Amino acid sequence: MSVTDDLRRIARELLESGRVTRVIGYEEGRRGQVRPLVARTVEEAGRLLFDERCARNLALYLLDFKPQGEEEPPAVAVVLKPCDARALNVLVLENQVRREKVYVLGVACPGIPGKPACASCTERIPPTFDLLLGKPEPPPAPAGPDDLSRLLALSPEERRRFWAEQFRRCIRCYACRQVCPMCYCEVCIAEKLDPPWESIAIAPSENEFYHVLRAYHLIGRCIECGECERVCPMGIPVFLYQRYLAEEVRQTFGFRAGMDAETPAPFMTFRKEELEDLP
Amino acid sequence: MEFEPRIVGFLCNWCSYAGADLAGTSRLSYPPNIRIIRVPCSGRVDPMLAMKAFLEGADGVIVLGCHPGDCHYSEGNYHARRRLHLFHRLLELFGLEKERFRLDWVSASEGVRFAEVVAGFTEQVRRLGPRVRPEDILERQR
Amino acid sequence: MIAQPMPQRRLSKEELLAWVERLLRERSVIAPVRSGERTFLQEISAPSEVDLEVGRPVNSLKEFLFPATETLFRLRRGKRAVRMELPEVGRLQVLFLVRPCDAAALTSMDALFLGEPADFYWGERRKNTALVGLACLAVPTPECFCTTVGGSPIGTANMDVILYAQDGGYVAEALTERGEALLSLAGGAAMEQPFVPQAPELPPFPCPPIEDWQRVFDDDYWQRLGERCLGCKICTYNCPTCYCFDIRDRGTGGRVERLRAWDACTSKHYSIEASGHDPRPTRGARLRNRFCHKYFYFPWRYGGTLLCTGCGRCVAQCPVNIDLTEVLEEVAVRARKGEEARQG
Repeated sequence: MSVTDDLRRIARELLESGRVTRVIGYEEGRRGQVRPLVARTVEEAGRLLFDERCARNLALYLLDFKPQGEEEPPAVAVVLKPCDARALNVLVLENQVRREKVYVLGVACPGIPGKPACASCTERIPPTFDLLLGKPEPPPAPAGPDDLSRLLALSPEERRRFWAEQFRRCIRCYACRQVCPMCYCEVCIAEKLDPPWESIAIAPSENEFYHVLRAYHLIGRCIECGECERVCPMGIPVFLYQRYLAEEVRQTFGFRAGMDAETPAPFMTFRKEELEDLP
Repeated sequence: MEFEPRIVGFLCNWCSYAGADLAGTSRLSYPPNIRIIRVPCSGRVDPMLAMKAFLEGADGVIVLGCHPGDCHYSEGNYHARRRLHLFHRLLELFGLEKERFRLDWVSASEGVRFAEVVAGFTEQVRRLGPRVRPEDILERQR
Repeated sequence: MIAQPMPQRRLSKEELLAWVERLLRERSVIAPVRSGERTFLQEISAPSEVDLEVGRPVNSLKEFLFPATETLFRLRRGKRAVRMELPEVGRLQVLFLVRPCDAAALTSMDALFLGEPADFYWGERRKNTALVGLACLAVPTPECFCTTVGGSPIGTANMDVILYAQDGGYVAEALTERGEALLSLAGGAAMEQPFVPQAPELPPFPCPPIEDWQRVFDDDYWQRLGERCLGCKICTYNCPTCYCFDIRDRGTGGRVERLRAWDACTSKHYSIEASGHDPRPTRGARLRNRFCHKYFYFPWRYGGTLLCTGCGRCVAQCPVNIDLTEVLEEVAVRARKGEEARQG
């Protein structure tokens, strides 16, 4: 039986038994694409699938099921690849999602062709799941020098010019932010007016502010799914800066976001003796 | 006319701001380029405040807090240290001249040190010249 | 209309690029430029930058008439008075190789921006902008649906010159006096036999009338669609006919500038009111609003003109496969079902 067949069977059972009220997964879309589906009925569960086109990080949609006031949040099931499951752990650590309200249909991930994050990923099994679908395969060989190494090899001047070009192209559609499960602020600082952080202008300086903001607020929280870069209509390599900072966090603090839901992130803690070579 | 850098300083109320006061009452001289903003603790300083200062035309931003171990709120400056260290890495990746942003420690009794740190930073930023915006870089390329 | 239209002219690729060179001397030229896997419409400084194989650029021509950000005016407080400065608007420019769907967008945008009271900024730019179109003799992309909304792949609306790619070169035809003036700068030879273009076939989709959209307004389809919508602004910003904007002042002390910048009705707090009430609190409600604006409210208000030219950008670029052609089909089907239920 394929992963898709198992997935449909289990989703039907979960909905029928009332264990969950929704199953968040992927379905066949139009024009050869897959798309997210929030299945409510047994009939809809029959449309779920999982294959190598399933790139979107579905942990994002768990934020739609946060408790409203005194109500108990509904129980939902969700299909999560390893990177997506790391996002769930971060959301649990940050008290945005109650783990016991989520039934995780983990998928042993074969890697998604064309997804930049997969080239350097070593996770084959989600760090958290209630049920595992598919068979884990050994991780791929580490990739050779890539865009990030090329960027770091440039002089600071050249790097600034490279990013200035990107900030010219950026239209602040915020797709990179909207697709990220970790960006759940009610009002983003980039859009906060009265008083304004940055102006409404869609221009290189303001775009620079926004990308620095995205980079900084994801430090110690980015789980490196790379969806931010995949959704950018202008082809801006936004995953470059997230990946770089995630690597810095790994090297400086030995921390990787989302490997569990308990270990505090670097910005939540400190050590008295560290980073003594400042300023 | 010589370039006069615009420096914004975030000084914590308990240590560095008092140190700045002491520099003043001791009649110590230091460059007038710094505009001081008093905050309760260096741990309050979100690096995005520095980015906002740059967006508004600052050429350099300095954050001054209590020495590690002496924070009035016990831990604030430890958090500041981690945040601002990683913020430096971020500035580096974007080619944003991390020398325009500094975190340092000045205690309430260190009036002389305050004057020295500010003078040193002002000189550093003066040597770097005015901060260039991405628009200016793109304009140059045409 | 031209009294005695110029005959069509044949241009080789080299002659076309030489024409661009001449245009560049006195105007800004905006043309499709390749960057990696994508093509963007942007200002060029040399003819070699032009991507002649352009399918559909990621961005539309909208930003060259209605920029993503512009200063409406500046205010400066002097000793005795407050001075207002208007920016210079409307340099001479040519939009080169625009597809008929993009050119057609100007019809609805003109209806909006030039209606009473007319928008000075759009008006000035529009006056100083010439369009050289490239007809679609083959369907450029799988997402195109211009015929569904009353357009044509070989349409010439709003163009000054139209080009047909033929036999490794181009057939050029002036459509306005301004087009004639532009074409007189090009080389090439007059055609002896006129070239008659054939429109390629596009897949047909329904275009539900206003009544259908009214009928399905309360359908739960919109909430289901909203479940996967990210709430980003990709569809709105790259659409040639979306025009929502925000106006805010920037600056303090004695110097203030009033900015106008793009905004999108798909974003979370777009409709939030001063009281804190939000009439469109869900992504589904916001999506419904966007589609209804294009196919219901705008034609209702502007004599039937749709606010969509079928360019297909939103279909191609939506990260979660929200497909306008599917929405059109769903609206038509559900309106039919609703009608049958009422009559049954």
